[in-house]
Order: sequence, then structure tokens, then C-alpha cells
Amino acid sequence: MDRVKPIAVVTLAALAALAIALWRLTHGPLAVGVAELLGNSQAAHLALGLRLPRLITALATGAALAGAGAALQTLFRNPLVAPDLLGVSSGAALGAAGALLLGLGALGTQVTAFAGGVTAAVIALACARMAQSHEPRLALVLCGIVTGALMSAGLSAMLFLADPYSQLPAITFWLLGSFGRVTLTEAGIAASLAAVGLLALLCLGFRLDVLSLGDDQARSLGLKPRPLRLAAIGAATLATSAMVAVAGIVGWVGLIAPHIARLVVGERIGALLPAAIAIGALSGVLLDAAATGFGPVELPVGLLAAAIGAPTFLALFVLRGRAA
Amino acid sequence: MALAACSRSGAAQHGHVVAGGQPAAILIWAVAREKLAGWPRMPAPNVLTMLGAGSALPETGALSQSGGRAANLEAIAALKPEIIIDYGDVTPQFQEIAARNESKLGVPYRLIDGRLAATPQAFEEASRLIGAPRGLELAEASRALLRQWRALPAGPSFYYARDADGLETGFAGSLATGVLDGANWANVATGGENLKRVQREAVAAWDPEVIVTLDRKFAEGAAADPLWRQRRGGGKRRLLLLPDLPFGWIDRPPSVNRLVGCAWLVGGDERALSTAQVLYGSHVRLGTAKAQWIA
Amino acid sequence: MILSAKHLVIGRGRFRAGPFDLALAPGTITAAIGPNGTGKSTLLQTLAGLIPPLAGVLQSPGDIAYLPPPGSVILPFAADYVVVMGRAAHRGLNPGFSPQDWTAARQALERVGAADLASRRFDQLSSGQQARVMLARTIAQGARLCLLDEPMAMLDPRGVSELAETLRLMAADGCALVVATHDLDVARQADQVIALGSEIAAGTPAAMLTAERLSALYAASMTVCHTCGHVSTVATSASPPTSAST
Repeated sequence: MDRVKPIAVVTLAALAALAIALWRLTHGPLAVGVAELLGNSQAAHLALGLRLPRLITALATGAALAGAGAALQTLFRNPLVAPDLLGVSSGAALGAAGALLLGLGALGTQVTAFAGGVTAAVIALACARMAQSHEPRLALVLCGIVTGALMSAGLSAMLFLADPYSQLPAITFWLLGSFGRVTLTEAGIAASLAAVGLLALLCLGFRLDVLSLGDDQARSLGLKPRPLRLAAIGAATLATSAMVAVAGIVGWVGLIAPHIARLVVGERIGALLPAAIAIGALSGVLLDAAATGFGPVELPVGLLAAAIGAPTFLALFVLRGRAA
Repeated sequence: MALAACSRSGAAQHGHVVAGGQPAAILIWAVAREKLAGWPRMPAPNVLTMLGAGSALPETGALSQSGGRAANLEAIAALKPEIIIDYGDVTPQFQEIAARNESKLGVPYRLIDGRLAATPQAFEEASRLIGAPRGLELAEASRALLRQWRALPAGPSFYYARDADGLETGFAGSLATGVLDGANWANVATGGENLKRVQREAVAAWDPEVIVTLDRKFAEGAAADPLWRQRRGGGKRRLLLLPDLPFGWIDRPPSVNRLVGCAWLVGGDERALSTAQVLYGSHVRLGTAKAQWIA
Repeated sequence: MILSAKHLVIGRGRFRAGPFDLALAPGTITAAIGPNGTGKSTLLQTLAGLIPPLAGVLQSPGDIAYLPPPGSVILPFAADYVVVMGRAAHRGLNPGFSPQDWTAARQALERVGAADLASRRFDQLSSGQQARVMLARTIAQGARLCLLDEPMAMLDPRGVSELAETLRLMAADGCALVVATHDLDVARQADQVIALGSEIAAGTPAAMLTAERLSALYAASMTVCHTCGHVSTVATSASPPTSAST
């Protein structure tokens, strides 16, 4: 199968994402004309103040999850790996549920969720380190599964303790995901953290491919696998945790966007990572458009991602089989 | 578990009427509080203090679907209930659940219609089932209150902000907003049903005059947020924080506690206090639990 | 000396071998021979620094290239990318490869006669082609010490002869090579031979590749042609022959 030039894919996806974002910035329930938006009126401030954080969150979440997913799939040479590998999403969910139970407010919930995600990754890494396995990647996957399960159990406990009239719905809706929960500042901070993580992954570059060959090969090619792997996982965790903390659990994007990218530009991380990030950003704004395009009710993005994601994954699987 | 505390104290200090869910518990408390067997969901300590619920009743869990902790049927049976009352949805689906629980426990399980307009009838029915004449007085009082409530002049347009971030709302006609809808306030949330999450921009587009909430945290946050307060015409949106002590004045849960909200709409803080005392006990002092218009 | 080992004991799991001494001079080719399971791979990986030695002193340079046995790598990348990965250690903090790296990769592929495979997917090549590409990667690494684990295993006779020539060119560039092989003709052309059997011994080909030593090493009846030096084998039982045959 002929590979499309990666730069074309990245540019196309990025332009499409920006185009949709711009369209969403100028259209919405608050019917404010484009001319007015560019002005300084109160209505313009209101409209932009409500729309901009959504879009930043949508773009950044898609990009972060897709980038982390691509990097981790390469690192672990496993196409079923998602950014949630080390239980980051479950940890963030636990943190958020705890914060909602304690009534910590919006910012407190985001901080706790972020901390929960990072903690889950640290626990998984520590357990894998303790295991001292000959197969460090397998050990990481297993420890990630265990950590995720532990966090989920904790989450279930929180759901049990929650007040069914006020707290339980809040936790449930947090879990289902939404891009519209945050202020501009919060969206900006989260997106910046995610950008740092993604930048780090981009800088690691070809080393991710070398690491995918296994520790022995990596060492024989002159690289130090342990610190590099730690750096990659750390960067992916940072990007994922930052966005899950503000958007809730949005699955499937981190799994599928890399697959689409791989189908189009090939396996090399130098092409795969930017392409996945661009496609992820595009997915983010598309999901947001779908979530808000049907009247005043907001559909949860996590739900939409699953509803669209699962059949897409199946289609990709079939396509790949035919292409190979 | 709370039940263990009950048996330790020796003689049964609880009544023998079990509430199927928290709405029923409040109804039973109003009609015959000495007969209540336990709280499906233990109220917060400050609520118990306000109610003067000195000897703590055990927590029984919910037999109905209201979520949260489900009841342990054996523990319920150990309370030796004479009757189980549930208050809320009376559709066939819930009738079936009631019948099943009745056959499992061998105790009469009765459903009472929870619609706000049917509150007087609910008091009468509860009075009959429990054998407490007080219920009839409550029925009369609530009938009079509801008459005045229905006759209120048109109120402002409002948006009911539920949840910590205020983005869950009850659409026009939902249970949650019944108190305000029925008082001729105009619920701006249209285009949906019951409780749903909405986009912030939708709220801005609806442009309500007032935001009503039971959540103090949300109110404090929204008070300072121009994106919540700014109206399309340029003015400032009013923010109404209703108390949730001892139970929510218009919602949470959807039970007879809603009468306090109706009372406030009819006659302000005074009427709210007297209604609360009628419902929960003459010793009840609302203290700082007053409706607050936040500037 | 590029590498020197004194009283080195190698091992992995329950396997142990040594102690032995070894010295590798730049520009030399050392052949490691021995029956399967006697530790040739372990020896190479120990010298490469991938496994720690169990005892003894090992002094080796910083830049070492290790070529794993054929068939042990599955790579979904194109051949030229596989080769350019050999330049990984030279990239410092740079996230990608430079044009010079790609040039070096192409040149390495040309050296092994696989220039036409550059854009083909590695896991779709034949085992012989894969062996060449992996050797090209080793060349691209530009290391001073190259350890090659059975690079000839998958090659046809012409391939073997071309590979031997490539190895000589690598040595001529100053690289010290250790080649684990079963091909005794190739071993004969090396500068040094290490034999791994019940013990590890090193010496010149002439000294190590005698009929007696080989027969003892491989537990087979082996003869060495006096004219061309070619080794012939007749498999017998597991125990070594009681008398040298001619």
C-alpha cells in the first residue's frame, strides 16, 4: 500500500481541525454574528468566553490522547495499547470522585483527578520495578492492569458512598466526559501541560522505535532502555492525566487515532506521532461538535467516542487485514 | 452497622413503619415521626440536629430504585416492620417491584403517588395506612397552601442549576422544577425532558432572569463568574440560593419537603418557617437556612 | 587492544563457562566455534556488555555493535530505516536522523549488496535478505568492536563468500570482529579462533582447527584435508572417537 506523505496528512488533519474549530467559534446557540465576535461587545465576550475553553479542551484532549496512544503502542509493540495502559484514567476517575464526594469544587476536582492519574502510573511503574522481570514491558502491562483494577474498585466504593440525589449524578456525569466544564484559564493550563508531554514524546523521536525492538536490541544499538522508557511513559502520562482531569474519561480516541495514522503514514514514529496528534485533534473537535450539535442537551463525549469508536476500530481492523 | 447500634440499646427505639426510599421517610416523619423505623439514607448530622432526631434511627438502605445503598432485606425484616411505604413513582414498573418486595418480606408494601399536586391526598393516604390522624391536619394545611401557591402571579424566567457545576437542570415539567413551574415561574429549559445535562452556551442563549440553585458551592462560584451572571441585554442575572436544610426546599429529594419551597414563594421566610415547623416539628429552628438572593 | 578479558567466567541461568583469557586487536577477525548450546551466544552477549560476566575482568570499548542471530528480530519497518537505526547512538539529543545518517545507511546497504532492498519492508524479506540488512545495520553503527552471532546461518554459498569479504573489509577499516559460526572454512580464514566446548580455548586457526581438537569439540569423526584444509565430518555416537583417523 502506498504511503501518503506524512507532512500532507498532518497538514490536512490540522487544517481540518482548525477549520471546524473556527466554525464552532462562530456558530452556536448564542447566535452572535462574526462581525460582532471580532468586536469588543459584551455579547462577543460572552460567546467567546463560553466557546473558546471548549475548543481548546477538545483539541488538546484529542491530540494528547492520540499522541500518548501512538507513543505507547510503539513502545510496547502492541496495537491494543491505549493511553490508559497504566491505569491513568481509572486513577483520575478515583481522584475526581473523591473530590466530588468531599465537595472540593471544580478546580479541586481537576487537581485531584490529575493527581490520581499520575499516582496510578507511579504505582504501576513501582510495582513493575519491584517485579524485576526479564520482560519489563510485559511486567508494566500487567501492573497497569492491576493498578487500574484497584482504582476502579476504589471508584466503585465512592459511588456506593455518594448521595444519590446530588453527588452520584455528578460523579456519573464526570465519568462520561465533557469538554465544556472548564474556564479558559483551566483549559489553558491543562493544554499547556499536555503540550509539554507531547513535545517530550516528539523529541524522543526515533528512540521510541528503537525501544520497541526490545531492551537487548536497544542496548546493543547504544541506547539506555530504562531511562528512555521511563521518560516516554512519564511524558505520555503527563499529557493524558492533564486532559482527563479536565475532560473526564474519553476512551477510544487514544486507541484509534494512532491506528488511522498508521494506516495512512506507516509505522515510523517520526511520521506516526505527528500524524496521530493531528488526527486526534481533529477527532476531538468532531466529537465536541457531535456532543453539542443536537439541541441544548449535551451528549457526553465519552459515550459518543465509544459509540463511534468501537465500530470504527472494527472497520480499521478489516481494512488493515485487506491491506496487508 | 447502624443496626447493630440499635440492638445494643436494648428495647427497640425505632418505629415499625419502614420507608422504601428517602422521599417516603420524610413523608412518614411528617405524619408520624415516632413510627419511622429508619432512614433509607442517613441524613447529615446537622440535619439530624435540626430535626431533633435525638435517638439515632438506623440506616436501612433503599428498597426502591432511588440509587445509593440498597437495603439488606434481612436487616429490614429484623426491624419487624408492620408496613412498608414508598412515595414517588407509582407506574406499573414500580408496582411490580412493590409486589415482589411484599411477597419476599411478607409485609404490606404500599406505593403513594409523589406528585406535588397530589400532596394532600398523599398525607391522607399515609395517615390511613399508618393510623396517624395528624396526617389529616397536614392534608388540610397543604391543600390551603397549594391553593395559594397555584394562584401566585407570574414570576421571572429561571434556570434551575443542579450539580456542583450547575449544568444539570430539570427541564420544564420535570419533577425537580415542579415547585417553581407550578408557581408560574417560567422555566427556560425547553427542548428536553426530566433531568439532563446542558451546554453552558445553551443557558446563555436561554437568557433566564434568575438562576435557582440548592448548591452553595455552585452559587459562590457562579456569583463571581461573568459568564453565568451576564445577561444578553447587558444586565446582571439574579442568583437565588435556596436552602437544603433540613431537606431541599424545592427538590432533593422530591418529597413533602417541597412544600417549604411553595410556602416561601407564597409568604416569604415567615411562611417557610411555619410550614417547616408544621412538617418537621414545632421545635425546628431554621436558623441561617433562609432563601438568599445573591448580589 | 580493543578488548581484553582476564580469567573471564561467562554464564546465564545454570550455564557457566570459563575462566579464560582473551585479547582482541583492532582490525582482526576472531571466529567463535563450538557445538550448539556451549555458550557462543552467551559469550558474544557478555563481550557486548548485554550480560554481566560472572567473574573476571573485562575491558571493552564504549562503542560495541552486537548482531543478534538471524530470525530473532521482527521489524515492521523498511530496510533502510532498520539500517539507519544503527546510527542511534550518534544522535545525542536530536529527535531524528540527519542526511549523513541516511547516506551512511545507504552505503552500508550497498556494502552488503542489498541496496535494492532499501524501501522494502523488513519482515517481508527472505531470511537471507534480512541477514544482510541486519549486517548493514551493524556496519552503520561504526563501532570499533563488532560481535556477530551466526551471520552466515541463512546465506547461500555465494552469500557466505560475499559476507566473508564484507567482514574482511570491516576489519580493514579497523574494526575488531568476533563471529560465531559453524562454518569451519570461514573460521580457518580468521585471525583467531575461540573454541567453546567443555572449556574455552583460544588460539590461531592452525592450532585450533586440528582434526583431534575438532573431533573432540563436535563429538564427531572429523578429518582435515592436508591440501586445502577443508574439514569433513562423519557423525558418530555422542562419545568422542578413541583414535585419531586419517
